[in-house]
Amino acid sequence: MKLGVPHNLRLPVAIAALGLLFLGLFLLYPLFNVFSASVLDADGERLTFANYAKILGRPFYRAAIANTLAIGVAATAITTALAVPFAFALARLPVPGKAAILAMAALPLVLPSFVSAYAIVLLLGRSGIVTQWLQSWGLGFGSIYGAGGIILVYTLTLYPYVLLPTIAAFKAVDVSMEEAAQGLGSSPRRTVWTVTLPIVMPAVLAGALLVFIETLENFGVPFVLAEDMPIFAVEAFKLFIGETAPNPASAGVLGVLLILTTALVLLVQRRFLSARRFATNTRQAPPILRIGRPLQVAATIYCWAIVILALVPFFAIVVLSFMEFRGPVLHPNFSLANFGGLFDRSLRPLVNTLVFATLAAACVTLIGVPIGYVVSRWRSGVATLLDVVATLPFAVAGTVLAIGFVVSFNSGPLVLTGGPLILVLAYSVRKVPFAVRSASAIVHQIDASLEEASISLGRSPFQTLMRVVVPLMLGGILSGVVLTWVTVASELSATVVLYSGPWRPMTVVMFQALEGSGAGIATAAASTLIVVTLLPIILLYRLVRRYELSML
Amino acid sequence: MLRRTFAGALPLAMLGLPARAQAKKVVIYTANDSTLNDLVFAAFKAETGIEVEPVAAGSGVLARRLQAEKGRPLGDIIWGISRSLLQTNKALFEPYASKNIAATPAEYRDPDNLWIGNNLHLLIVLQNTKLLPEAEAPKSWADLLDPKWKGKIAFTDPANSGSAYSTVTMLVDMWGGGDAGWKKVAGLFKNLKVLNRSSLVFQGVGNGEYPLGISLEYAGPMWAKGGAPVKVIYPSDGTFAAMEGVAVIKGGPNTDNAKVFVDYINRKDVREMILKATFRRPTRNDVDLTALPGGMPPLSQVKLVNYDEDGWTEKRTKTLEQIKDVLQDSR
Amino acid sequence: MAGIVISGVSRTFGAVRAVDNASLEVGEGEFFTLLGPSGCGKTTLLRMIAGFTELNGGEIRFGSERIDRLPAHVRDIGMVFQNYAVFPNLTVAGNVAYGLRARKVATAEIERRVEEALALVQLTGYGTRWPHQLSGGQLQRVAIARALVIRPRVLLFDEPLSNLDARLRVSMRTEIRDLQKSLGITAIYVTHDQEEAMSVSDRIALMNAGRLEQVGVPVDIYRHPVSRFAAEFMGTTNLVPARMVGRAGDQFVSLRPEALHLASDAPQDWPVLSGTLAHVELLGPIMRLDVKLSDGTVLKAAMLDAPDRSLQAGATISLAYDPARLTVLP
Repeated sequence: MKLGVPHNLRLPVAIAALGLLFLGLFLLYPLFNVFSASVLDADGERLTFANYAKILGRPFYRAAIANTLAIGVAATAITTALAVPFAFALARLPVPGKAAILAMAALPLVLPSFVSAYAIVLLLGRSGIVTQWLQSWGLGFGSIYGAGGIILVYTLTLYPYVLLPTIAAFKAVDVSMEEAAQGLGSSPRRTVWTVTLPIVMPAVLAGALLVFIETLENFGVPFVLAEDMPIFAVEAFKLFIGETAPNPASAGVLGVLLILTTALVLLVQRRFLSARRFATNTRQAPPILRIGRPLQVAATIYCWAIVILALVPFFAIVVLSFMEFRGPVLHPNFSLANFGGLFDRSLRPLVNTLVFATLAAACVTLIGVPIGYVVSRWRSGVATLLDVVATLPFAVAGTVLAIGFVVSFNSGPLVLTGGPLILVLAYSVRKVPFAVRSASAIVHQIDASLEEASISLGRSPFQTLMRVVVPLMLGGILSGVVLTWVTVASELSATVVLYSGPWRPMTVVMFQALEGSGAGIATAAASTLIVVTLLPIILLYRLVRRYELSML
Repeated sequence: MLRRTFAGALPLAMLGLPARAQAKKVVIYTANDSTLNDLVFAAFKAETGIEVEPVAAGSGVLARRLQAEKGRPLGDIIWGISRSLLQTNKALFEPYASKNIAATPAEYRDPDNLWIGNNLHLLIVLQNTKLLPEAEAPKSWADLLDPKWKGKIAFTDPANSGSAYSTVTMLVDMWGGGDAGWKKVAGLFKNLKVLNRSSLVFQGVGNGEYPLGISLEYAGPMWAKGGAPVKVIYPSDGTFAAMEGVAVIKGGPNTDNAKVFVDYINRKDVREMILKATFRRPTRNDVDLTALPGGMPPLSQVKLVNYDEDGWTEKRTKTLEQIKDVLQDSR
Repeated sequence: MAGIVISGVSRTFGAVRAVDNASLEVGEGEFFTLLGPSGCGKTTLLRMIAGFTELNGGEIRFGSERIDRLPAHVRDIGMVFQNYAVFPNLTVAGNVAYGLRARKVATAEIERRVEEALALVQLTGYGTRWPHQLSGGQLQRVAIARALVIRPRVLLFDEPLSNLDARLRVSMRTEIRDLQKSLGITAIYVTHDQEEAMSVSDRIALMNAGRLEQVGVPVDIYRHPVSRFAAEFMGTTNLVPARMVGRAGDQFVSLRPEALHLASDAPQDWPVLSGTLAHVELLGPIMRLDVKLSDGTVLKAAMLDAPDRSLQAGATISLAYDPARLTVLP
């Protein structure tokens, strides 16, 4: 009793303490430094809410909030509606080429969203290649700009957030539950609706939440596609680092509102989950269902169509990278000059990207998985706090966090600016929610009595976590690692503020080339990133598959 | 006790700060695009042996970074930011009298030598000649008020672009100032597509998304050189030449090398090299534009208007709010 | 091996007193059952012994060693769970060896003891199987072998049979009891099934709303319940006002159905109650009757089937009862 903590709470308390320490230092402290401006008057002395009244009183910002929420809700709903059947088909139906689909499904996340948006405009813009081709057939379509286009891009790029955890969850469903339902006279179809879906609901919700928050936070896509529709994250970005008038007070207001929205959504989700605690005792990966030929063909077409559609910007970039660019201008001739231009420069950015992504993925897993375990196992105020804090980074625009980092760690006891570690830490903080949410969704499905059995047999809670829980979570953990790795490799908004000198990663190369007149170099860099990130993804999925085979 | 040791050890152990003092280098915060950066930094190194470590970002990001690092500057040079950003961040700069002062008109440098102008961006209208035949093109800012251009003119949000801010405020003055000027500007906004970043405007016109775009001069010859159907319209009712410049950051790690760069970047031959590749109009008054590619007219042939840059910079926060309202009302 | 002493143990969850000042002594080698309806606190008490739930007050000892402040993993307990809790990622042998590995037993010794344990639960040869290849009953045997093989000081069973079908439940409970007796390990067994409890237990603690209602050998609790709750929970009974059987006071008496006989079959001196036969059913060897008395009270009676008896619902009927089998309840 030396800690004064009941012995069966020592592990969660220790994890929570370490987690809160990390997040306190690298999330809350920098944010506090950034946001304190929003509640201070112009002299920075007295506490005031005038900045909030001012922002919320302006129709422009109210419109920005309304647009953002509407787009977020629509994109989340559509993404979820597409991804859940997709996940079910991959987990339970005889669809050919599953490994390929899975590997390709994570690919949209490899491409930074500003590059996707660039490709989409080249294809579907007013003078886009596809647009002109369709027009030559007399087929017009509405503008890619505005809410419709933004929702389309979100759907096609963010669906893996729902897909990956939901597949893991479908595979973790205890077949005996379904057997029980069918034994009670339920048809297979009804069983899916009434038994299987409710069981995977926590994972679906966790994924949908990520999508929703990502739509709130993302500015790469609306930056290009919103034209002049005001969008929350874009306005926040401009207020923080607008070229003309950085306005930290107003920017802080938007940042705080963004965070409050996220916290609210999270609490609603947590309430919903706490009312429905499903634990199943997985002892068998559920079998592939036998279905008729037409249904199998339909499921196959469905899965492949989504994957391929989502990869259109992706293919476009690869194709563009082999075309001739004169300055910024595209000419439809084959050329390898872009790659020549790219590799004439240093390979250092590519190495940086790989190293940062790997370190960040490791760091996120080590921090996020234990936190995910604690928040789903330990119902208490501290766990709720930890959950909310650990999901907050998702609501914090990368730019905002990065500015907080610079303000907080450029002097004083902990100096990080100028080196590579600050990037890894910023990535780790930003991506911790991935690991936390995917881990907690899986832990929801692991019967707590397995851990109690292990403890009663003489393993300490920590050994139990490592020997029982982690092996059972492995599929979920690995998909979390893939997500983290891939999204770190494509991160831009924090990187651009924090990188220095030799520590420039690939996204910065792309961004700078695209902003300048080197679109060709940008597409070549994007293609290279695609190829290089594809390899570890494939390797990881092979690993996951082997692991799953060993469970059979 | 333990905390002190920990705190002391961290910067050494974790930073990975390049500690090779003997290597000749200079850290340049640049808001210029990568084409210009790559060109200049390679040539600079070839000539001086000084390695450039660039930090490239939008000028807003760079300024924020500069201010955040005030206590311990990590950069030596800030380059490619507007006159008003140079003015507002003066306190962070080290005075240095460049060797090129004589060839640079006084209006393009700081009296205390805290910064010096490198090049001028004329505020112009870009035209895509494939979407819009030359004959039908507007000739002046006033022509842009015609309702037939509704939704056809790309512009950058002045909250994120110094040149866009200058354009709006210049037009307010040109069109009578005060309420009268703002009323006409509000009319112009009805025709504009206000995009988030200036690069979207010239990409948009160059790639054929918009027939017209309010942009900067260099984009026209740059895209035309690449083969895009892009032409620059110099408004007949006059325009403003926005300056970009360079400054040495006070207390940076390689101040001596920084000064070498300031001298280099404004040298006549270097300015000509830059103009040939990226069409930046130099502040130097001794470069003959007619002998160089790009077809850029000498400044004397362009109608310029008086523009109170410092005055509008002072009123910026309030003015930007006003622009937001105009923008919102025009939707 | 040790006896278990529970003194003044309490636990509240929010406003609910899940276990309220419970004191018990379980003898060495005893098979002791915590019995009660769901929510009575029996599982909470078991989990406090196991170390998964903190005590708010009181203490628990194994023999002379106080264990309630020890972490669960050093309490040296073998626990069997309702849902088996067999590790799905380990083979049968891996599951059984799990606790031995935790104790750093030598590999050869582990192999020997796993074989032995599997033999005890009649799973010889199943070591290399995976859990998903086993039936529910086999899984529970794995769980039992896993708990036994570490030779724990006490065995805890948390409703181990409630996921099994009725027939298997009956045979498994005998098996569990025999194993426990042959190994001589003190066992605490939680169930809500009164018949199961009576079948396996040396003694039973009947729990209700967090309190120990009655502790005793099964027969005593059945025959001499100390409360209306005990009488009703331990099998079926008729609770009737004392006046009806000619006793003074406001109390109730418990009269077991099997204490009622047809008046014609009963000794002359037994008191008689008359009424209408409301319902009759034959459940194999047992015949059950519901008899409605003139004041509306329905009495349940049960007796062995007899070939010459014929009873029709609606007939008037007289029942006699053994006065020695009346229990007056407070």
